[in-house]
Amino acid sequence: MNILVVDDERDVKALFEQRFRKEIRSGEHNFVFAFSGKEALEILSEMDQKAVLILSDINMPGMSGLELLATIKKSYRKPPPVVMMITAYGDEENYNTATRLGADDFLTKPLDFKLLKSKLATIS
Amino acid sequence: MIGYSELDQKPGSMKRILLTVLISLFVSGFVIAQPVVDAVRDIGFLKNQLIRAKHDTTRIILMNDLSTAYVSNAQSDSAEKYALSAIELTNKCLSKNVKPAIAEIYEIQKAKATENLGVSLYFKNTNHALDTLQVALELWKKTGNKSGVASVYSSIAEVYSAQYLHSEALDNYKKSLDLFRQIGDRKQVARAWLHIGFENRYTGNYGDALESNAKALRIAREIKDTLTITDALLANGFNYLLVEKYADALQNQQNALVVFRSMRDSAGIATTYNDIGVTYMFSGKLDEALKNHQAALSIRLNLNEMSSIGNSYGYISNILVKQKKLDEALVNSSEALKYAKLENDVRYVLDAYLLNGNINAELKNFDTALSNYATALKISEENNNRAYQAMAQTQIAGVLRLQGKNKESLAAIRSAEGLPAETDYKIRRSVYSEMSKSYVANGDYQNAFEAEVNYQQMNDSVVSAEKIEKVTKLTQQLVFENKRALQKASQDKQLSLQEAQIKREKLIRNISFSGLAIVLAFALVFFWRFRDKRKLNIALEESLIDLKATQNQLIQSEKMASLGELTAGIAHEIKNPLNFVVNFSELNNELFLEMNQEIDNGDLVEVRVFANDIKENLEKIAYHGKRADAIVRGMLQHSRSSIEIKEPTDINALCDEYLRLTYHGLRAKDKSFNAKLISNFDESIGMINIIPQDIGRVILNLLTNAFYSCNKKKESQLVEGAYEPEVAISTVNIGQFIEISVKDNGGGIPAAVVDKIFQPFYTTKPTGEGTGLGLSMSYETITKGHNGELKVETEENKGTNFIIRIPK
Repeated sequence: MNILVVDDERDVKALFEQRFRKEIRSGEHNFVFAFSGKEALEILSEMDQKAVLILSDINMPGMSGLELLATIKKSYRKPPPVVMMITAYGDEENYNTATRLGADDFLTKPLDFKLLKSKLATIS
Repeated sequence: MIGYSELDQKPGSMKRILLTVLISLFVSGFVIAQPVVDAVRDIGFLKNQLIRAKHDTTRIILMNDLSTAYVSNAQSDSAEKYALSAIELTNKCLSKNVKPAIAEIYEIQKAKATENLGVSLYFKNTNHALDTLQVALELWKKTGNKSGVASVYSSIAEVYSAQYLHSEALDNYKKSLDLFRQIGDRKQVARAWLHIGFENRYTGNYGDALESNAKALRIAREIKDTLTITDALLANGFNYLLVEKYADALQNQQNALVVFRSMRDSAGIATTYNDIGVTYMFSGKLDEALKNHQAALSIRLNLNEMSSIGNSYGYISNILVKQKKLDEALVNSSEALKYAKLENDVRYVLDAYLLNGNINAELKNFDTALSNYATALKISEENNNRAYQAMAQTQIAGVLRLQGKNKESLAAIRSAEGLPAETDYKIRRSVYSEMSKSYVANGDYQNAFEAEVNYQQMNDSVVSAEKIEKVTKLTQQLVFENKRALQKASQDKQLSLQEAQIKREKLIRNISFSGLAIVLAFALVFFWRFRDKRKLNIALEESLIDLKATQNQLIQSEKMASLGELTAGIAHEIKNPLNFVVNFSELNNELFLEMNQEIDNGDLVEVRVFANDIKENLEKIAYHGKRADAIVRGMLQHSRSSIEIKEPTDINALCDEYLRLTYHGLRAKDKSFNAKLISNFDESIGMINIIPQDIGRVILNLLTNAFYSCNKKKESQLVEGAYEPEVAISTVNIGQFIEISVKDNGGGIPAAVVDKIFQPFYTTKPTGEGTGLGLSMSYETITKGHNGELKVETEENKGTNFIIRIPK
């Protein structure tokens, strides 16, 4: 599965690459990283939209994760890519907004990778 | 516990205001006005007159007077009886065909009687009292008697106040104030200001309360109204007490004591002892407090003033609770309840039930406590007193929680939440405090956190916002007055110098015996004047020191306020490094296991790869751990007020950290807000010598303003998306100096005010949003603290750029 990770924190790349090292080695997942909402949209437009999963942070300077989510869910025709939000704010308001905008799931930081992997397994 | 400090002065002043109104109204020749203390003798005198009275008109007036006298004596049943008789008789008289001039007299008496009836119901049932007073208001309005209308407004206000509907009370006192002003009744104007001061105090607006009381005190002194003087002094005592200025509070109370002693007013002396006791209680001197309350109690027992006796027992019980002498406290609180019931004053009864409940709860007699609270709840529901309903429900929730009935506790506290008025910060504060605990007991931490946030907000509303704003106002006034006094002093000095010059010249011309006498006389005069001047100077210096202390307090408050803004940002910011620390350390565990397998396999190349990965991850863990540490340290330093020293600091890292904190802090408050963040740091700067927390505060302040300005502009945009907010921070190395620029594309600063922005207390933000100290503190920090410059470039509707320039 092609997975696009969006977060303004650079070390997220190293973390995901190590956490998923087996899955990457076996070719089960393929990760692409973007460090802002804008960059994510650029990458998405070049990628084959099929079988794309997006994991996005919410609080990013410039375009926020929620704006990115709204844009993706609006501009991609059926079926839109699966989008999971990952954020340090676990509050209800953020959760509700994300759900309303069509987020498929909502995870909080510190990220539980076991949970994330089990969620990925159900999708693929 | 809640509420006792609010009770003083109310019934007394209620009686007094009515009697004084009455005296000002009736110059009809039947009754000779007597001072308040003679109320008891009045009743006998009036009753005798009533027996002898032959005409209905006379009888009506006397009944009204009797009713008023009974109200002032707190005998509401008798007051009610005479008011009803007066109404009945006026109705009878009005039903006969009387001349318009006579009918007018009856109408006035009917209005008065209805008002008395309303006031006498005040102790029994505040809703009935309010209805009756509304009728009285209409009757007075019909007669066109402004004084009567004003008096009813203030009675209505008293009832609202008793129902804890303070904004309605304030509204009615202001109406009454306006009318008394129109008719030039300065005595009642002073009383109205006094009550406005009370209402402001009850709602926690201590600054407004002080101002209103100062007005009351000034007028009362001018017209030599000792009653209002003492009331205002005692009220000021309370205001100072509530802002924790105990010395000032005691000073005002001692002044009141002097006046009462000179008037030989035992009730007043008792009240003052009571207030002094409260001041000591708040300042934690419990033994002193107990002594004063016992002194008040023994006077009151002699005077046989039921409600005051109950009140004293209540206070004594409260102190004993604090001293952990619970059994003794219970005895006293039961006495308080007994006297409150005798008096049949609903609020005292409610207070006593709550107090009894609290002590029983402490003694773990939960069932008795709950039954006390339930009674308080029932009575407050009957009287539509939402504030007390909220208090009772809050206490019930607390006890249920202690009994482990968590769900029931939550239900109780939830029903308490909607009860108190929006602005009743004090009660809302205790509701949210209990709510947070109750949610925790139910394991609902999310809602517990929210309740905690609400609690903090209420706490801030009570303590900080009003205090800062009003103290600021007062301080400014004080500065101005001091300046004027100084000016006057120097003018006087010059004048006396000129005079001295003239005299000296004269002296030279005719040195004679009489001349010598003049010399001596002038020498004496100058000596006295010199002494006066010195006294004045000392007094001025003292008040300037006071002023400095107040200002320091304000600055500390400002620091804490900006800290509050940061907290939300910190909560978010700390989770990001934490995410890495947790996950990379878990990863290393896995990697270790795999590495051990490779060791067993003997594949040294693979082992080295793993070892390298582990090392890199450890570095990441250390890096993000330090990052979290820096965030917390920044927060601690931010609130510190001790002497701060310059240290080599990475200014770029500091700017970056505060940019993120401010941004996330504001986002946490307003989720809809977003802005593009641009940072451009000159890496050649290296370390510079600054006080990091001070400069951090300046950057935080400038950034907050920048975001605020962008947000305002975005809110005012008609077309969505037409405007993209941008905030940029950059550093530049220019040899001996460095420059930090904080730039936004917000609304800019109007040319008319750009010169004022660095002045203390200047703010364009709405009341409550800014203290007006941020930029002036920033200016001081940069110029005085760091020998630098702070400049502003701004254009309306284009944006603002603040430039800090400091030596390395």
